[in-house]
Amino acid sequence: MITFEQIFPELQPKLKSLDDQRIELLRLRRKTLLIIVGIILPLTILALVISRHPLALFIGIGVGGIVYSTMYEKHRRKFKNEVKDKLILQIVNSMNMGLTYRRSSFISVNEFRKCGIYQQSIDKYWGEDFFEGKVGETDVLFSELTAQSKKTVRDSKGNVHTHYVTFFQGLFVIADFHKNFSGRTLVLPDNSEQFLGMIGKKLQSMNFTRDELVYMENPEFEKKFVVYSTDQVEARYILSLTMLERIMMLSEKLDSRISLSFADNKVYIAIPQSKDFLEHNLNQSVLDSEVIRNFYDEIVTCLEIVDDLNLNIRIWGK
Amino acid sequence: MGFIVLLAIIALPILFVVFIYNNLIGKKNKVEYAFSSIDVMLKKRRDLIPNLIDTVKEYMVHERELLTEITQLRSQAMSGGISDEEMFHVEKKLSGRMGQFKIAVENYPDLKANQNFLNLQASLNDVEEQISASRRAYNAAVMEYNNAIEMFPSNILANKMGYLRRPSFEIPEVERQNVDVKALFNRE
Repeated sequence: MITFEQIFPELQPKLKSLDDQRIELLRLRRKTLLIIVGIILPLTILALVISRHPLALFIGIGVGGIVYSTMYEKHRRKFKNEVKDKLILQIVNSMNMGLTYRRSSFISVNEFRKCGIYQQSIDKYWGEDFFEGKVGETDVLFSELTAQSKKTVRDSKGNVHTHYVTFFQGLFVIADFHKNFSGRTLVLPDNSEQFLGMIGKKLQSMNFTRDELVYMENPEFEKKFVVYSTDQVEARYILSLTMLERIMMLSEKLDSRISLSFADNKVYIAIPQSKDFLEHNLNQSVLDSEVIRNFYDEIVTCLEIVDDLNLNIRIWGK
Repeated sequence: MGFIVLLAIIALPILFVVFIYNNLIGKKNKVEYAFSSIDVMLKKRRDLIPNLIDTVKEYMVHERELLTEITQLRSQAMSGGISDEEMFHVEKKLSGRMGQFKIAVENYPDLKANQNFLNLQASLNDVEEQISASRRAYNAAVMEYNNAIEMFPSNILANKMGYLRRPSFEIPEVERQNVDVKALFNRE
């Protein structure tokens, strides 16, 4: 893989105009805030004092909101897309790996559902930053995703409230798996065993919504993860002892409670993350090497999963 | 009321015994199922070996002894009428020799150019990975079974049913690394 030091010199000059836009946008933000604080706020207070009616406050907030969104927010959103279209795309092209990047695409809900990691109903689903390409021999795709399910609660007065609960937010990676298999094996973070020990393990084996529990002989792995599979032997064929080590290492490296699903000769990896993927802070120059390096690192970390799990090895005749 | 209590007093222990009994049978069947999956994979390996030996024997002239031993162990494992434990023992030995074989192959660069050999090698790797997987599945099932027949109170019933401890199938690391590297180098 091309290192950051190799791509940085050729990137920087191409980004000058982008940074000019950023500086212009900062100026615009100052101007907008000045108008809001200097004109709209005093007028609102004045109107409130004269009319003594709360409506004046609402009108003030309304006008402030409209001014903010038309003068600034609209441009900020445009710039955010520009960063992705120029900077991210430029990084992707410089990496020279034949990667495809689409800012507003994401992994389809069908793929997400098919992996079987989450059992909740998917009522709202969206994402961005879709990548697709090959690392060595291995096809890999990933994107940022958010999935929510609808919850309806009836309060004491009999009113029905509906709200959406996020059950997954983060990165979702799909890669070709290097061994052939026919069933489905899930590796999920272990919640019950950590706190309940033996009782937790018993409860896991009685989880009727999942496939059969598979006990792994690595005690450290067993503490952190729980494995369910349609086939005891196949689960161990996929999860060789070295694979267990690699999964633990990956989880530590990503600092996330990852889940994996092995199905359709692919591996699906859900990496919950609260941090927004490839998001730029307006106060930082896009010419700053650290800023670009962070973006580069975020992309490379996803691609490196292929090597982290050693998916490129082809000694099994697949 | 009294009748229901009486019924419960009689029924509960019976249910308990039935539960333990079924549980034991379930565990025994799991072991047998896992055993049969090892057996399938071991057979697959045995089927591969003659082809493999045929392909390599003209290249690996210095390895006659090893190849002969592999062939012998293979037919030994295939001969019927040996107990599970004996079969495991023979397969364990065979696994060790196959490990040696894989290392010895490294000394014959010509082999690496032989597509037929490469295909066979990939199949062999896959089968060995499958053997390792089914072996682990078997050992996990055996552990559960052995725990059940030794732990109270299921051990009482297991005793009555004549259930005995099952051997696990281990391939110790030494067996795999038991290669005389010195001999490999000195031969040339």
